[in-house]
Amino acid sequence: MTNMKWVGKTALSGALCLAAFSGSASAWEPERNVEFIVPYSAGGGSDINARMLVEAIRQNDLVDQTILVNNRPGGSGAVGNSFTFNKSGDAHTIMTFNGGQMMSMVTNDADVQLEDLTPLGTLALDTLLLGVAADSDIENIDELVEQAKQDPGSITIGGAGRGGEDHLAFAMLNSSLGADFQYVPFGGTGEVTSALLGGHIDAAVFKLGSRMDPTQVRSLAALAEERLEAPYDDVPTFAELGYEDIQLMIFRGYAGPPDMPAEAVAFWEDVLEKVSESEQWTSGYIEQNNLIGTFMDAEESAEFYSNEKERYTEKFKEVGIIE
Amino acid sequence: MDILQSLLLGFATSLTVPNLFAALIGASLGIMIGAIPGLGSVTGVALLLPLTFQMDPITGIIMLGALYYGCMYGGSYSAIMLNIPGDAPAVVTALDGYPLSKKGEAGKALFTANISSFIGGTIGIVMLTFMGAALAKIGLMFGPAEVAALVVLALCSIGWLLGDSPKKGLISTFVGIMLSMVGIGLAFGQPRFTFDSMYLLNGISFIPLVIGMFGFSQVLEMMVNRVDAAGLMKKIGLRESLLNRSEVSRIIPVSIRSGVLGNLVGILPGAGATTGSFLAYVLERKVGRKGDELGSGKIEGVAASEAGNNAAAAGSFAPLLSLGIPGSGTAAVLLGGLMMWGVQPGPMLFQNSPDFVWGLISSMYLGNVMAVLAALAIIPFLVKLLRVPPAFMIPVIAVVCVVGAYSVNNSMFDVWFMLGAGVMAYFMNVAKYPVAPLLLAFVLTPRLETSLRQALDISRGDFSIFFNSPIASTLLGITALFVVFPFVRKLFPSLKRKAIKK
Repeated sequence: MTNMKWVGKTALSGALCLAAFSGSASAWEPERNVEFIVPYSAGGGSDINARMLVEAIRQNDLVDQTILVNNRPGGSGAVGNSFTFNKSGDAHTIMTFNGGQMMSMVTNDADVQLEDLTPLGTLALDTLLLGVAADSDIENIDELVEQAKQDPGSITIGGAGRGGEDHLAFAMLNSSLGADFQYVPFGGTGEVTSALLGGHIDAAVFKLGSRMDPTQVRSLAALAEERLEAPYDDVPTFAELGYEDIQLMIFRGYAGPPDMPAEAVAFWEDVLEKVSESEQWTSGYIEQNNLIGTFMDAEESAEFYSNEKERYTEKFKEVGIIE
Repeated sequence: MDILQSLLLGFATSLTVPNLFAALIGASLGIMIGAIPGLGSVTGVALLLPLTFQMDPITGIIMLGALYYGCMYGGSYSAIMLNIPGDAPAVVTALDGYPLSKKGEAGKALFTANISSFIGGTIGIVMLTFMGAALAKIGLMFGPAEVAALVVLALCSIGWLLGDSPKKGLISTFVGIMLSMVGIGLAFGQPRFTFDSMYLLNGISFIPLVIGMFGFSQVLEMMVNRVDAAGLMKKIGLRESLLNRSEVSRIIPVSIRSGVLGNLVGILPGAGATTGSFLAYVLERKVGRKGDELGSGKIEGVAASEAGNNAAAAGSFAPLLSLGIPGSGTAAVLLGGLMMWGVQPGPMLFQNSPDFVWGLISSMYLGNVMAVLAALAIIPFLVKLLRVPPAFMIPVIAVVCVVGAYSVNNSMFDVWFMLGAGVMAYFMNVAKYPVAPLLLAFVLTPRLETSLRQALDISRGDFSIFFNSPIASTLLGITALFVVFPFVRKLFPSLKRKAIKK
């Protein structure tokens, strides 16, 4: 069971500190198959993320044991979250954990919250853009705001889902741009694009990862921290336009069950760091999915998630999604 | 012609021995995956996708295309033989397919399903080849208001499925509407009727509901009433299963009509293959020569449904290829695959990667042919399977039901739910409440609610959005005619007689 040599080390509790020791021969390693929980269906974004991670781990020989992906969809992630939660203290269970998953914990007031899980690390970030159809006569944010002010509620902004990333981005726009927009939720980014190109809605928010074609959709501004890379390098960020509040980076990370042993946290953190530097991951996943590659260790991730959770809660309260 | 030339070029790249082999493997796998209730083309494509990364992109996409087509064929098998629809569109296939099996004509139903799938699929692909871009533009004209009007039209036609007692049919429709309300709807974002269970948060899963209502209730019925199984077990040879010339000529016009309609429905955003097969069935009921007998086990019903959903599946590729918008769940997974191969879907795709696009389109022709060949080869074995005595068959069906319900979400909750739905449907059958209206209301109501709410969000609550759109007002006008016509006919019986005399 627990490796006695490491019991003393857990007292140090600083996961960062432990990371330095991992990789040495005496560090904790999985002793049996690892269960990798994906709280969404096969073929979705989290599922692809998990399967690419397993592939990168396998090709670089980072884990000796087999990692089995287990899809536990349902309840907007709640089923998978509670599955992982019930494995308390288990070092052999890991789970994909992303921004949307945390948002639905907040909006659904779920039983399992961020505080009940053990963040392990973050490998990718996504952000959102606000765009109009390429043939729209709206050229920039000022014109959009101007029209909305002349006739409040007349400008419709579409997005995927209610209470998710797109809706949160809308909430930020609505509260910080000083105009009254109307949100129209759709079943997915594909449906949003159809409605936008068909002229049924005026503007739309969409994720960087959904790779909106610049010849079809003119992006007015990005919710990113910094300027994006081509083909979106000519799109200003909202911060550049003077709206510092409108900023949203959606994370794709990993978490374990509550009370996961510190040496196991250190092990997974180390595996994730090595994956983030591997060729398979950067070219096979990050680039292909148009994401922003990053590496945040367990402690940084925990802090980032908890700050974001606070921000999500506040914005969702502002637009009345939660009380 | 430019298009023909490009298509031939596509065939030149796709017709190689390894590609044909890949198409055959894909088609066979697809038929198996489609035939297993609970596994559909989305799962099949998602699981096979990583394997194809090692292959040449053209070979990979050919294999996936063939798998997709195979799934559409396989989905009808369990619907016809066991009354367990393998996927949502196959619910409509079961309406006539299972009664045919009960009459001992399962073989004919299977052949009809395959031939009409082939015709519908071919119509869909030909339309995609020559008018893909134009079709995709028509699809864009359908916003929330237009889709809502289309669903209203589809919903009102449930009236023809109510059966002998309209009151019982309506009650069952309303139960379907209520079940569809469970969970967090897109329209309001608040949990409804979830009783604080996280398993109900995303609503009731369709597949466990269908497997229970159609399949497991059948198990109960066969256990309680042994006579029912007699028709199923009737010895049938392959020769009796083949369609004769007059039967073939009965299903061909049906398949063509349904194929064209299904294809048009398939290109609409979010409408999908289920709406395609359902509307095709409804059309057949109205215009077909044997329309009134549909539902009692007519090959026309199977043909309409299967041609409709295969054509819709091809139709959902039009927005994917010409606009980069996935028209169905499977298309969305394929879109992920295209990006992995470094292909950027969108309006420039035809200019930027012509060999890939035409390779894909020609692979759809190839996949369709491979799937029909593989399917026809399997039928004799399927027909033999039907001769297995009920004492062995019933436990097998029960196991299929349980595994199918479990595999959708890997969840025991769904298994219990499936069993409950089966018991409920058994008693509904005993009391002569029809099950089909319940399921169709369950599928269509959330689409109506979402589209209606979106339309009213856009118009700020003003219903004139439906009358200002020519498409929506036409569709609503047709609906009104459907509703009013029976009354008018009753009020003026003389009209009817005159019409008949003419």
